[in-house]
Amino acid sequence: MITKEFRMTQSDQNNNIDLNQFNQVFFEECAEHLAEMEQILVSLPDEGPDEEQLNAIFRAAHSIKGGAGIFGFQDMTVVTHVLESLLDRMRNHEIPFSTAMVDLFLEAGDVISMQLAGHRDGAFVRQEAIEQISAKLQQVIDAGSLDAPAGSASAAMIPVPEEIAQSGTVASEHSDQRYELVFTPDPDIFRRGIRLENLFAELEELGELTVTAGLPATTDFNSIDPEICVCSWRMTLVTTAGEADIRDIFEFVADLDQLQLRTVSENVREISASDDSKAIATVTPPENTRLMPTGESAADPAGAATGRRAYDKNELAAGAYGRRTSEAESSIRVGVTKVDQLINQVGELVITQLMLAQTATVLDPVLHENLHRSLLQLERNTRDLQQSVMSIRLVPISIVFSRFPRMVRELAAKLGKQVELKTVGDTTELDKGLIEKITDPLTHLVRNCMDHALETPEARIAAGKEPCGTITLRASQIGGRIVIDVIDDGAGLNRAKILAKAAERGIPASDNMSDEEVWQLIFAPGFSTAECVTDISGRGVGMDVVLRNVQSMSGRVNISSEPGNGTRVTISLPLTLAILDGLSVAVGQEKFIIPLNSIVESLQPAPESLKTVNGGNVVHVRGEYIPIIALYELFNMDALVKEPGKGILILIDVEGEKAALLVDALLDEHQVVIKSIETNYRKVEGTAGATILGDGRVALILDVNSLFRMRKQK
Amino acid sequence: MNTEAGESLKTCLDGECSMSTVAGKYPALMNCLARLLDSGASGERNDCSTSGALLVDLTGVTDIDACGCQLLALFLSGLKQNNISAQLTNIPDTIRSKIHFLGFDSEFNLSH
Repeated sequence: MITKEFRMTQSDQNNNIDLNQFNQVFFEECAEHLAEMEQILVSLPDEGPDEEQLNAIFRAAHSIKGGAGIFGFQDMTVVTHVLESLLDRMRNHEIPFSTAMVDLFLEAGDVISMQLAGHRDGAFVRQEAIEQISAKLQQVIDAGSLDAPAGSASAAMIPVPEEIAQSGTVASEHSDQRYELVFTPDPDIFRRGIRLENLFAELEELGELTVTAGLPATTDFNSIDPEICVCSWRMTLVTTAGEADIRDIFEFVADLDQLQLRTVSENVREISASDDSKAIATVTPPENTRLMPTGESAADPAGAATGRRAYDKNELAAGAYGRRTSEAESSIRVGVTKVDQLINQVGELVITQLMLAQTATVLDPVLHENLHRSLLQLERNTRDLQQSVMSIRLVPISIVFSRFPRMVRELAAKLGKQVELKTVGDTTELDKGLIEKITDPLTHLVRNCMDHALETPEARIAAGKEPCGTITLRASQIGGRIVIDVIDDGAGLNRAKILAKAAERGIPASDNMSDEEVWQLIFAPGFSTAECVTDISGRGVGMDVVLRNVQSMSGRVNISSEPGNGTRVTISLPLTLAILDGLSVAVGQEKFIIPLNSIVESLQPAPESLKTVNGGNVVHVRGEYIPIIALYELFNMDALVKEPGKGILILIDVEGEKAALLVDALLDEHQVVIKSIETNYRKVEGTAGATILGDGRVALILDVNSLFRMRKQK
Repeated sequence: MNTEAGESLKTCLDGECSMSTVAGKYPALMNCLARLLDSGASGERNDCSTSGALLVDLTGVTDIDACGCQLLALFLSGLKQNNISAQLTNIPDTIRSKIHFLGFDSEFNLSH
């Protein structure tokens, strides 16, 4: 016998697709589901979740499980599976809600987060935590309630809805149904990295599954794309599960028209009573059997609009299927680096436009009228484009605010305080970079409010207040800045205590200081009036870190406080760190940009207003002596004007600290694109970056905070 | 390719047969089909248990997924359309289980 072999080897390994991009989508969605779950859990009233809230928590858990299974993160389906089972029992009123469940579910969410971090970031995953929470959840399922002793589960203990108990139809409600499914996947399903084995395995968990793949009637093998799915699958599933459970499994993989679900209204168990082994084979669809379009429920013969899943009664509810679809259609996920690249390129375009505009200034406006008109149009369009592109980086501050309800809840329990957290202006948008940096300062502030500012319920009642304190996080956009207030209705700052502590720590302070100046003392490094150090706050490392972090974002912090009525900490941040409104000034041959938000006024000083105090020049403005900072001295350069009386002074104010910058001339007001000088050259003290002006020259952008420091050092 | 009576044709698949490898395996299968057709292997040979059927040897296949099964099923279908009968042979147990689980038994004429 002659044998001929055509051997195919593994040379095709190079064709491996990058599944990482799909994983990334799952990671992001999983994080969103966890955040949504947590948000609902911490906002639950004492009487427990309503139907929609419970459904939303279930959806989140189910979506995580479904995604984890499909993307091959099987370990993540362990906790989610048992969590989902418990939630399902609760939805069916088989297990009652108890407030302790919130902590249990939050703990489960934490464990899933840990697993997610393990896959996404390579973080350490504690297996025992997974086992413990799974056991706890299972215990509740077995016991039929959280309060019941473990292992005491019995059918009698599980509350059965009265109508079912009376009709005695519990058995038939849970008897097997036979479903016939025809799944015609999206042609791209393989390329999307979806593993049908996992999908079928999930179906098999519901009951007895048989699968038959089918090919199109005729296909020319020479013209196929092997990565495109042309198969369809016909399945039969005998299960006690409902149609919604089956459809849920296809949530991530099938569009409305890709899954047909056919049910047989007769009860399989009844038919198979005589001959179990032939039950499936002998069931034939009765005449009234119909192929149900996706979205219709077998249990809903009236065809009421119950959504894709039976529990999605409100298609407009957050996270409901209908909403998700429209959201998916109206948004796309784009990497931050791509957006930054776009912003950078638009920045270059703005600079080029400025150069063109500057070049055109020497051209006769009458002779070159069309050119000037076109350049004006170009300027408008460029500005619009820049604003639109900048807005891509803006994200709602709710991303930060949403982390606090749980923190407040847990700290309140730990401290024995009653606290209500209110958030206002959640939709206020802030640059993504700032969002990441503002989280820590806000966390410090909220923890301080909880630990120090808010009184215990007893103390509040004694002070004639409601026992429950309030912390309000409020965000708003005022002009080109974002203002975030952290407000509490606690005891307020104690002026005498702060002054005493300042004296104890050797921080310069006096009784003559205004309240505002006294409040600023708490930003001194190591300052704390807390009598005992707790693990929540009181180590005195909080407020100075808050100030430093905020200042690093070109932000400011202000405090106002009223004894007995509470404290308000106000953080003011620029809308974005990528562009800046500035005033260009000349010093010798150089140009500098001074951020407009730090400028109070500019003036040509009268000779009598200029004085010398301790060897330094000051200017007397409306009763205040303000130190003069000569930029030419600070940057060691030549200047046309060296006498303050002959130049122009620009008054700047940062966090209440004032100075007057001596410059040769004021030039123009610009919106400049900030370029990192550190990346392209090296750190230049006193500057926050550089920009390219219309004439192509580089101008340094002054960092007024660091100018103050430089002056003090000199 | 010799297609005389009494002669058996054989092709082997190796390694992983999945979404990540089908693009690489496809040209080889296409080539195999073309060579079979060029050699005049097509004909009235519907009983591969006797002779002249193409044996697709899966001994070396380490893993298979739905995409890999589809490619194989389309290949067999392409052979059939050209009157070339074929049969999978030496299927490792794990691969057989996966084929069954993914519902390709009937496409591959396998009994489970």
